[in-house]
Amino acid sequence: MTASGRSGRSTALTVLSPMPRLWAGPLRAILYLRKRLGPSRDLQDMSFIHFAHWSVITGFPGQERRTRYAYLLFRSDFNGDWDEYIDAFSIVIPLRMALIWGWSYGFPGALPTEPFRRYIRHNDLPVDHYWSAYPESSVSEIAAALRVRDTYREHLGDTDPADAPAHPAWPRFLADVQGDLHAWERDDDTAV
Amino acid sequence: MTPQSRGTRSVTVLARIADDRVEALRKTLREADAPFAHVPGAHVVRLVVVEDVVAQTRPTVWGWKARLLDLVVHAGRGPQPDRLPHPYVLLTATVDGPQERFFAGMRALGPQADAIWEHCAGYPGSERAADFVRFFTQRSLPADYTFAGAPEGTVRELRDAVAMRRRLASLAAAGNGGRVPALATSGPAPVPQRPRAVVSEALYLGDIQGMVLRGFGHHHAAAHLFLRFGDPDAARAWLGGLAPRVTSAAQVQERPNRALHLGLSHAGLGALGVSAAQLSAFPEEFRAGMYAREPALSPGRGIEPWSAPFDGTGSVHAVLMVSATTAEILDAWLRELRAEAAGPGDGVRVVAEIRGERLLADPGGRRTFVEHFGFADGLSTPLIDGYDDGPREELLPPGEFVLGLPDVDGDEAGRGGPAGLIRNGSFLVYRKLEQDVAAFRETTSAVADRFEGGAADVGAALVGRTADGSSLARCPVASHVRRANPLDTLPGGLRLSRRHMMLRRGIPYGPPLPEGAPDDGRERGLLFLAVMGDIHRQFEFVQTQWMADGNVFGRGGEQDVFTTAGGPRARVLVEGEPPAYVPVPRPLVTCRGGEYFLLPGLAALAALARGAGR
Repeated sequence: MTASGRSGRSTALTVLSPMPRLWAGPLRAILYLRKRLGPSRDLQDMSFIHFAHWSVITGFPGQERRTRYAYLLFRSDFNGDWDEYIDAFSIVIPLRMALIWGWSYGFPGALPTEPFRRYIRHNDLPVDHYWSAYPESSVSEIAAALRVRDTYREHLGDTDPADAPAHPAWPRFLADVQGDLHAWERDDDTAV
Repeated sequence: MTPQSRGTRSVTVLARIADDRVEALRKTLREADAPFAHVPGAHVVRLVVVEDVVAQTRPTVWGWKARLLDLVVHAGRGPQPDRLPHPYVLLTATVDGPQERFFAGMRALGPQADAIWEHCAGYPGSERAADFVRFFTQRSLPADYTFAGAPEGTVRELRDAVAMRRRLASLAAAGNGGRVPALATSGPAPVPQRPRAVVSEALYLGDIQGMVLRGFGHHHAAAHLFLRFGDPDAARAWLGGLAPRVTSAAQVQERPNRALHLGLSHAGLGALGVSAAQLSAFPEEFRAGMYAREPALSPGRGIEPWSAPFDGTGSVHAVLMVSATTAEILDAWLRELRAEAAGPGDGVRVVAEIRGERLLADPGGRRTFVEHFGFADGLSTPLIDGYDDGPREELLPPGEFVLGLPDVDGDEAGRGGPAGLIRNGSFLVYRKLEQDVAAFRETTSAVADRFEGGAADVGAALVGRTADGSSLARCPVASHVRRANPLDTLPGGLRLSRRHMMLRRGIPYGPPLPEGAPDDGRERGLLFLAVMGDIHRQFEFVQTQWMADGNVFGRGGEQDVFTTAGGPRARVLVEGEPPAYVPVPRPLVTCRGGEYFLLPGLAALAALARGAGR
């Protein structure tokens, strides 16, 4: 229920944390390795992260003097409850969290969850403007929409949806993606 | 697959804000009217004014591993002060295609772009494309690692697919040509467990209120008295007389024929004279009270259907919960308690009273408690480590329900709260949920012909169990039972979902509406009581993420119909051959009010009566 940046189902998290310059190289190497290995399965299974980006900053653009420390800039767009999002990271991938934030000052360890949550909340920068192209669509909603689209094409080709219910393949299409065809609309819903 | 081979790219720009322009820029950003809607290929965009870095402190609570890490990485030294060279505005975005294309799209905004970037040092204006794009590329930072959880697609593809899914789902629902085969059960209903003889020493049963660890199944009558305190001294005198008679968990084993429990709201603790410092140490949601939290708990409805005594923040100071094996024992005791409350001084006023009564039925020949819709209730309840028997992996640490003890995260439940007041206490979530039995029967019979098993199967599909409590062979994805306890069906599995369990201590109120009888217009429902150690992580999370939303279950905005939901366009999807939709044109359940209470330990109650915490 706490969020500085929100657009429909999407919440923004922006964290800039200082670390000794000495460790900027090793952390970059870790992030590079992660990039080579590709997205991790368990993170993908969480299915509530639209995007997450990590950058190690050793020099700020146009700086006239150097900062004492290097900085890790983390930004993420996710669906759902802020607390649960942070807790899920702590519980599911505590070691990787330590590998990424362990260099930063003030990192209390990923577990227990409460001190880490407090650490992130303390460092979350308030967002001044936030915009999402599909504010009402969560990550799983998008995945469902793509499944429905692909199955529709497979069974009904480029039939106009208005004519689809009369099409002989309509029942087969319904049966194939039925879990994705939820149709609950709230009174306060607006169109897509 | 590397991020580069996917369609989306990460854009990060740090632009120095010109001297004295921070506030002007902030104002522009906060008032900006979605300029990025006109930039093609932008998935998400954020702008953050970063005046300076956040000052770091060393953790006050950390484990030995984190300490060891700190020793290795920082040689055990804390951070020195550091400052950004200048105030910056941070632009981060996820976009389709190369970042130059995104910058060019931003340039097309013309004056709208200027209004933002003119506050930055060195901004060349949007007239010349090359200068504009160079301004941003020179200030860009690479992302060292990007994770994209959403499936690949351009903004346009994704938006089109979302609109198409929505349209097709509406068509399917409007046609509603579904057919749901008869629901099969997977064996008999669970049997509620019995108390265990050996109890862990960590649990001070004599200090914990009885209802925390065990429901009083043999108590068939209950009354809840809602109180307001007046004169603090007189209220504490009243509490002093009551506290020794509050039922403790140690007495539960003796199966007493009557029980008394007391919950205090945050406002109630204040009215007893607890100091502001102690009051402010309670968790945010308890301080705010349920009235203030309801708009988030029941989206779209909020406190609109609420009625007395829950008609304002802090309007109820305490709830006195009295229960007994028979109505006669209950009545006799109630007379006594009411007389005490009306005693000398303006200490306590009873502002409302609700009677609860167990409903019994014999579905399938087994005698069980039911709720007004006719479903067996109180069947599955979390098991407490140190108190219940059960397989190791099913036991939850006692701190999930009793404050001051280790919780599921390895933390101490209620840490940071006023220790003297919360020790061996619990939080109680109280909600008066009115049930519209006629609406439920209409809802299920309206689509009975779509279900091979008829109206009974419609109800079972919504609940996730048959009326007698038997589990379904294939539990419907977003049914009530599955929502309340998703087990290992959600991402993160049991490790995450076990953090949101509660002990339910509810009891029905109002007369049952006999099967086939017309609506009598009388009020009936469930007094929902749930005991827990963390209101936000347990009740509020379940209510907002699992009940009032369907996203985590892959059901978009579909809500649970047994908490508080329903409306002209509300319909529940039930998978079949093909799927059927159950329209819920009006709410089946409406929350009429509630509050967050602390069930203090018995020693804390006595201390409160003595004026401790002032």
